[in-house]
Amino acid sequence: MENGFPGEVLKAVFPLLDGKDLVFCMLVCRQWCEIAKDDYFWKCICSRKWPSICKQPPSDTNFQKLYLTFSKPRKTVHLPVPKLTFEDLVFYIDMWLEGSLIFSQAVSGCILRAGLQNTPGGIPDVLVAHLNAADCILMMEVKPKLTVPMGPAITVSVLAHRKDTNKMTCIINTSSFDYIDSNAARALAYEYLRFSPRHPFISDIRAWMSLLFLYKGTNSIEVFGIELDFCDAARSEPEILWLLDMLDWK
Amino acid sequence: MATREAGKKMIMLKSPDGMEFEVEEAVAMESQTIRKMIEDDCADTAILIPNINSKILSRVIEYCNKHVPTTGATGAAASDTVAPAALAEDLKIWDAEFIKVNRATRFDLIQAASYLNIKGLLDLTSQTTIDTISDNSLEEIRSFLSTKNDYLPEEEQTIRRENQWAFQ
Repeated sequence: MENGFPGEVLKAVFPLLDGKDLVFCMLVCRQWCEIAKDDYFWKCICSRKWPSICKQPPSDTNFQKLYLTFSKPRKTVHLPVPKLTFEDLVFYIDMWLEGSLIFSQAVSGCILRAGLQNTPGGIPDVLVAHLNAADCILMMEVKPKLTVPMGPAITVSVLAHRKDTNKMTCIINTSSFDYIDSNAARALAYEYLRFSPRHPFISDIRAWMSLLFLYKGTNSIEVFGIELDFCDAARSEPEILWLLDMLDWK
Repeated sequence: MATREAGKKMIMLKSPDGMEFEVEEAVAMESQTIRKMIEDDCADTAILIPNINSKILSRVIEYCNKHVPTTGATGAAASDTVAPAALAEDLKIWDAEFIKVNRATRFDLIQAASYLNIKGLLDLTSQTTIDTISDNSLEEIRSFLSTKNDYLPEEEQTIRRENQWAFQ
């Protein structure tokens, strides 16, 4: 009472507050917090927000918990540590130019995760910015650099193997680099991912393969790196691993 | 209407500091607490109202006088000719003037309205307090309502973090 605020007043006022304001009141001081803990006030709030809940509340309903659980904006969930690791993964990447093989490598997940060790000079700023972005994760250098003529279709296929379960999956069947982002000097190919039947409602998530290149004259490009991403859904390392884990491994 | 005729019956309300207020029964019955006492025949002619001093009690009676339904209220004879909407508007203006009191008086009124169970007065006084709480920062609430923050800094940090969403 020395605090100058009679509890009776709060008990009269609190039932009229909305939930957010009541949460606020809990932060004013200990006395307010103690009084606001009375579930009666939260029941008042819930009965305005979900009037039907008071007609038949589940037994032992804690209205404060109920309100807070479903009113807080959902936090960005921290993913649990993925079961799959990049050490467990090998990617089998093959590329063809008009039917003839131009690139064929089995690449461990760790190599892709390590990314580019050095980038050649003369690449556009847009590409530099992209390569430095936090969601640019899986890349590797193409050594020696591949010089390919512009025009003919380049196709790519990617299989992956996971050592933990000794299974394979197809990430890109046969897809061509149809889209050239000339500002960023990237050519992109994509394929829709195939998920395990245990995840039946997921669709429209693509695997993207990019060729990072430099223009060599007007008619050819020099590919110095490739990048794999799943930017429709996964932009961080744990997200990518969880996404890959959900694929249709056979 | 029989009640209104019978309403001429007077009731004596006594505050703990010894003051006596003679009011019409209908006015006193704006308080559900007093109504119950009268209906249960617990009140003959005088009712002692504990905890509410004469200054606050006189204001509560003033409120009840104004809010007693229709023309029963003293000095409201003219309202017979006024449309209900205009009457309601008039009451609103009167309420707004009535609640222009200092914080301590307002809190006393809330307690009195709560004890006497006068819904209109409780809503009016509480709403004014709620308006102080809503849309103000914590520090403003504390200062408006002269409440001291007695949380330890770490404690306050923890609670703030848990309830961050209420601040956005």
